[in-house]
Amino acid sequence: MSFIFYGWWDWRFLFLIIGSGLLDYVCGWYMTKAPQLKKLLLLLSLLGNIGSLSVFKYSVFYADMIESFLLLFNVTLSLKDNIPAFALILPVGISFYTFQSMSYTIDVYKGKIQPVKNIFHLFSYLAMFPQLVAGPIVRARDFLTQLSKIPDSTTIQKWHAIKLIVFGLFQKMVVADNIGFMVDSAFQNKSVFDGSFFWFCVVLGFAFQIYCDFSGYSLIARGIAKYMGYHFKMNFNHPYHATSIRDFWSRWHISLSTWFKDYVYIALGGSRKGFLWGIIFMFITMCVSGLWHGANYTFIIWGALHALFLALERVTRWPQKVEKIRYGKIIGMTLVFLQVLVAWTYFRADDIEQAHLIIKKILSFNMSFDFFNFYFNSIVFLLLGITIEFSIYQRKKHLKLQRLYTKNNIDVLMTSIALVMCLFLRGPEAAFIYFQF
Amino acid sequence: MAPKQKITLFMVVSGILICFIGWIKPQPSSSTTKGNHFWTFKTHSKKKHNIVVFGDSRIYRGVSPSELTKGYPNYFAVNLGYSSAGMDDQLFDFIVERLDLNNDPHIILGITPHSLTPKAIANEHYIQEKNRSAFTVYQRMYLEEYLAFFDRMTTAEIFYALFDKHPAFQSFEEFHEDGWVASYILPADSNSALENYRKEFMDNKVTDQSVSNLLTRVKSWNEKGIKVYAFRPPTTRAMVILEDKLSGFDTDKFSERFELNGGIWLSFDYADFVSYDGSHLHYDEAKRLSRLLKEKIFNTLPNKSS
Repeated sequence: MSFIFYGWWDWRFLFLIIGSGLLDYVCGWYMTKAPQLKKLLLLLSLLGNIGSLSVFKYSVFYADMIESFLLLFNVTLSLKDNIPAFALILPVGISFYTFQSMSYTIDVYKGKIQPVKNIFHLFSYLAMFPQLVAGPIVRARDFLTQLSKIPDSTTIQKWHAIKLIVFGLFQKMVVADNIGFMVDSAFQNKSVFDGSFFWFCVVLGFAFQIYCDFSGYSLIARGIAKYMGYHFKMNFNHPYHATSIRDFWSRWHISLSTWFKDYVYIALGGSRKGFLWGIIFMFITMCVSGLWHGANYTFIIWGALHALFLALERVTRWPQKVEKIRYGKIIGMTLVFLQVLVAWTYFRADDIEQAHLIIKKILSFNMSFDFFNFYFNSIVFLLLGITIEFSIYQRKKHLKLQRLYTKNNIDVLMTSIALVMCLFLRGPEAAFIYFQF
Repeated sequence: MAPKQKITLFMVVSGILICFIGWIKPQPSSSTTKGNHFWTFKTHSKKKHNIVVFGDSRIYRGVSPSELTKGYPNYFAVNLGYSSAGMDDQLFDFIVERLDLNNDPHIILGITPHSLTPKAIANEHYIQEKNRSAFTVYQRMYLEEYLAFFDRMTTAEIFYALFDKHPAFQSFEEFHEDGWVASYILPADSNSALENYRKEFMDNKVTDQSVSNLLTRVKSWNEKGIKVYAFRPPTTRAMVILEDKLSGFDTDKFSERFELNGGIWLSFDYADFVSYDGSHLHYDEAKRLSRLLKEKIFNTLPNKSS
């Protein structure tokens, strides 16, 4: 069923996912049969997965980089024009399933899991349709065990699944897509407004657009899986409640950040090799994480900025200090959010120059509110997004609010309202942002 | 409450809310579902007419077929305009297919300079609509109309409806079955389209080949007994000056050649019309233009009224 789902988009790319699965199945299997070849088999698997990712996702980027480098020595080479047409298409979900595939062989190599006997279990794990195109990145050790028994879903699980799906749709269709109208027109230079406050709202809007877009997808994926009797771990845990950048990364795209932590940062040596090496490894990890999002320098800068903020935290330990003062939590949250906003500007911008220009415009303090009327709808949903996050923050703090939500069928009413809003207040149709990654 | 009861309650409450909101919600200023139905119906309908109006967006927004034939019940008109449509053989074949050749057929062409350029002749919008899958065509022709119940609305539309206020910004579109889109944009800016057109004509000029091709067709239609009219769709004076300067189009020369090939050229005073964006006419102006077209066309045909 998952293969039909994937093949619906383009059946030719089924060979790629099947190839990736076959390679890792064989490598995993032979790791136990021929332990002396373990390293070689792991290398083969990594080369296969990273190779296909490089060809389909980064070939233009690499060609561009080589062309620019050679131009420094007055050597003109036309690499980009000679890239085969098939390599210019980005297969949907390739960044996600190659990472899942790699985590399987690495875990088999490390002895954390046993290789699967049934190849269809491996294919089900790689191509599980709810999360195939945009995650969450499920770990082999978490999912393969679930496949060994027939899935069963109780009525309470089904109710929770419905809630997850509806709130996921709400986040995506209502909040993200409505905000997206303002954000996209501004970044595509289609807007006539140019003041500081306008650009601040655009960047703030993007922070909520990308969060609600991706978190919405993750909730839908988790909901569908839950309905079928499977369990995917939480991928977002209110990241803008974070009081430090480290805390942010334990709440944002959790499946990817833990993947990079386990398979890149710790594999490089983590903090075991000393403070300075720890920071260097962190920079490498964050830059690779940026590059994972797309073949553009803006993503690398986004990753590098987060690494810089994390390094500053490690050196100064400011979050711990700020937390001790009055209203420290709120101040910490605000400071973290501002840093995240700066990084998001680079993430969303088409190029580095555009990001610089936007930050310059924001800092020029040219206050003008003339855009409010035109973007009324987007502003309303931006405020709604902020209000929802704030109310969840309050709900976590106050027990009374928590009880109110679970009692008196408030959850039923809220789920119904969310569904109705999805139908009538949905924004302009837009693809999930993470589909492009 | 047990989870099973919660699911039932959720379905009941949602159903009631959907019916209620769908019933009371304000009409959107531009309906996507109605738009989808409109373009598919325009492209894939087999219905024949004895008057076909053809051109680009200035035509599908600027000429109302029902206004054009009001008072002439023997005439059935359709507007087959598309965005950035060009005067090309593929479209000529398409409009003839939709023409009732046995019932006094008329073709009315809206000739904008852009419609004779290579970019327009690519006819991307028409081809996109023509190439839609059979499933999409079926869905948009027969089901989409009913989905209009679920048309999205914006908070601004709710706000304006609740407080009975006129919006400061609005893009209004009303899709008519006869191929006309009644439209306006608020706030109106009669210069907003100029820059785009300036860029558009930088490397995209009127070609002799497209003009000759059109005139050959006009001659052949004329020989087959189809009456062919053409006019330059009225727009702002500034736009006409810009187009004349940059597109390489000469209205006088063209109209002369057009008439030599058997067509009837209709002239309008461009400055007499109001455009909301410097290119397209407000729907009231579109109705007025359609009435003027009616006067000019039916005046050339004796004894054609009901």
